[in-house]
Amino acid sequence: MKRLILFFLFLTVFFLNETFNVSDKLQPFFYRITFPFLKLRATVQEVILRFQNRIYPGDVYLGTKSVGNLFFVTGKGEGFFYILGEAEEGAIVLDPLEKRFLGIVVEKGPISKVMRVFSEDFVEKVRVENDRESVVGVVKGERVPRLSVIEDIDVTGWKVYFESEKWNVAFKEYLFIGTVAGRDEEYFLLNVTRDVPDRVIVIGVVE
Amino acid sequence: MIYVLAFLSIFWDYVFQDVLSFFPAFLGLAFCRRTIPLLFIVILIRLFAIPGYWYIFVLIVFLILDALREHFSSVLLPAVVLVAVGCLVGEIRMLTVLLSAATGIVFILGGSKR
Repeated sequence: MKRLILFFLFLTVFFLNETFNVSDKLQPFFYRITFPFLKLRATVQEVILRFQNRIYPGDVYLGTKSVGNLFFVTGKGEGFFYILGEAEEGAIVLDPLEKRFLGIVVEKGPISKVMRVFSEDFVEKVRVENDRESVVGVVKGERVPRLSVIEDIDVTGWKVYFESEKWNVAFKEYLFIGTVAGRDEEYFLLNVTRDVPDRVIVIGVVE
Repeated sequence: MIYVLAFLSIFWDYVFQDVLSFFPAFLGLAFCRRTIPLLFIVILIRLFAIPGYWYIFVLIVFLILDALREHFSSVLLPAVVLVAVGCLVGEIRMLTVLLSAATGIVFILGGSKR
């Protein structure tokens, strides 16, 4: 009986939390308490990278305005990776050295989660370009990402760029996803580099 | 020890859960020691700090195993099952899961010896 009461009490708190988003309101509190440890972790990773002689560029500026920050990559999984620090959901994540698109922030937290193009949940609008032409397409995430284009043309060998109305002009080169490797019935298959660097740029509002 | 583990399973996990999670170890040890109120408090705080739907499942499994406690010849087996369930709360990354599971088993063995 005692167990049952405890369980229903937990369920009540759980659904109240879901309804009123209590955990979201408490996040700054937990973040503040654990901030020294998060900072310590970031510092340790920075020192390790220095010892490995891997030096990354600083924050990203457009004119005098900072639009992006560097984040440490803390863990990698199939179709996603984690960055250390709070980044807004929907922010774009880029590779500062290889100049390529890495993913989109899907979970904000002390360790934010970034969805990659290899995740099955990834469905995004892209631009497919060669030297002369440009068409719009949609990339669906898979182990081998798939591209579909509206026009009936063969885009094999073309370059695929993430389509972002806000950042297309300023970061065109950095939005490169991969190249079209070939065709599989109605889809085109993409060749995308799987490696993730130790530090990444997050473009957008950063806390 | 269980209070330290309770603290770690909230604050350590908040910062380092992608490396090693102490929550599975705490679950296993809480089962061995039968500290249900403490488990309840930890799960509630964790729910606010690291939200997730898995906690309902974890709590159901814990309470079922606790209700069937007398039917087990040793508490080790259900405690290890709880460690495995606790590992599911985090992301499925092999090294993290292995480290968390190993830590849980070490704590359970230490706790059961006492």
